[in-house]
Amino acid sequence: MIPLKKITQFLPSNNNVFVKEGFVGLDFASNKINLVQFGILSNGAIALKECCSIPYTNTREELLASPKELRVIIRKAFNQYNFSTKKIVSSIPSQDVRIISVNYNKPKSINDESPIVNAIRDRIEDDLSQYVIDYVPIRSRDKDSEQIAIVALVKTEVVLSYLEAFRHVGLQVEALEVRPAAINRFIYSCLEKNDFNNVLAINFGETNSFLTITSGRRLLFDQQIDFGSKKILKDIADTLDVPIETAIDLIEKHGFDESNTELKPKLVFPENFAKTLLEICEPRLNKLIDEVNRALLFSTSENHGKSISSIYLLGSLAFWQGVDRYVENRVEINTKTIDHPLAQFEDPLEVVAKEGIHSKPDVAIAAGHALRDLVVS
Amino acid sequence: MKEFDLIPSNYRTMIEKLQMLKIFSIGIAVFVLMSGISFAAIQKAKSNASIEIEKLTRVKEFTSMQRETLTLLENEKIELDNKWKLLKGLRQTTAPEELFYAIDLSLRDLAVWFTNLEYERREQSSKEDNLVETGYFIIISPTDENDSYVIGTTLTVSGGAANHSTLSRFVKNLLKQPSVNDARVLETFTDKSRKQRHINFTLEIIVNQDSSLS
Repeated sequence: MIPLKKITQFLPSNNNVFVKEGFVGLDFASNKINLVQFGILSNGAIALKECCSIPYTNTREELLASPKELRVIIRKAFNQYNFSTKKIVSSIPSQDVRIISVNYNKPKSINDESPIVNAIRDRIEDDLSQYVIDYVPIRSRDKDSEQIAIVALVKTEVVLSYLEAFRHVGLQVEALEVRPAAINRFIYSCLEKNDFNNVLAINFGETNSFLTITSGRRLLFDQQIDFGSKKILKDIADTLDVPIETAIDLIEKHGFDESNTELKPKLVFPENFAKTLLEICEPRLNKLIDEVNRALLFSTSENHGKSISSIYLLGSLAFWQGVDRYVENRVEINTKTIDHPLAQFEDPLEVVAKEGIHSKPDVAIAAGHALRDLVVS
Repeated sequence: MKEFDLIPSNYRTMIEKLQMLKIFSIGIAVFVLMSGISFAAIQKAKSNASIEIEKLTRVKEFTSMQRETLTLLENEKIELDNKWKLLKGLRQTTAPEELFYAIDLSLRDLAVWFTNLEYERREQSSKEDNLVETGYFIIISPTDENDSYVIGTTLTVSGGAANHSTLSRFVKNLLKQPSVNDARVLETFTDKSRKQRHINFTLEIIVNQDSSLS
């Protein structure tokens, strides 16, 4: 039996307010799949077409290893929500991607590929034929021949398994990116489009986090750091001798914001417990701040003294209150949590109000993927 | 501006080929399906046409039978019509009294006498008689052409007359009678061995010659 939705999608709709519709941005976050689609309105503005977040029943790794489960969740997303295409832009999960900055020399007469491969051959011990390699040139260090590029390397088998998983569930992958590229595009298109300041985005993961520096449309730097929410939660659980679930509950209720005293009169822990949590986590947060300072130093040196103007927080720690204030206090740079990623866009169909997922910072990556081919640099 | 894309070019080529193959397969499948449908439709049409032909053949056979029956009936009708006409002709004869009255009128004051009379109703050839002029009499020479038959009442009279002139007047008088269609002198002779001075004759008088059997 043909679902009614499939029939009605061929009929003229009042919702067809877009002059162009983009691809569906698909991101496998740590605990849910995020899908976003944008369109361009007749006035040229980018507007939200559809979005959804569907939690995994198992872990992300189990989902990606099981075509059957993946098919169920993809079908659920595309049947329940009004996505107009099955052409997607997605990214390989960060743990499977190596992103490195490469300096290389090349005469102007030849292309970049051979020098880049030669440059990374010295830094990668494995056989490069086992990798899919792509790069984005950043800039010339000087007017002669030295160049800088950001290079992404992924094992070919990982790329193919990922692509095949999508193919088997009926999705057509238009582009397979890396997450920093999506973050860069999102920040450029909705936050920093009007100026070309250097921006640092911190994407917090469960075991690792990623520091991404962008300048306008260009991705300048991406680095993985050994910092994640799991270790912080473990620190809290170990110190307070409580289960991990209690630690999660505590951090979600109190966060690190000492000034936030409006909460929870029935808490077992005192209202200023945020200070205690911050004291517990501070050694590990210091490591984060060290990495951020290192990235800031690198950015300043690479950009002829031009420093980072803003820091944006994404991912798991971005949900916790006070993290942005803590980082801002420590590095003395304006720091914001992108807690309403989709609120930056027009929403003529009131999708956000319907789905209520705008407050999830990790939707920003799916949004960044969805903006491919819609954002003109 | 260049953007990241980690899809290997050979994979993209493979996907394009698979899509082309899929489109081609769909095309083939559609073609096979259409061929099957067309074949089924043709078979159905053929079957319908066969049924129609069979029906028409049956109708034709029935029509032929009807035509044969009709021909038989028409022939039967013609036969019955002929019989009816014959019967009608047989029934519509001149009354003998009228005939004898006509003969009697013709005999008035003539020396003609009868020795034998034969009254007969029978089919007669209605062909145009081949008449031969012989002076006083018209001799009938029989032919085989244009035979048709009529119901005629024939009175064959044998007798004698004073002479040929008297016989001739008698015949002329007969022909003037409305109930007499024809009067034919079949023979005249004189028995010279007896030294007769009169003539003997045989005369056929025909009445009611209107019931033709064509």
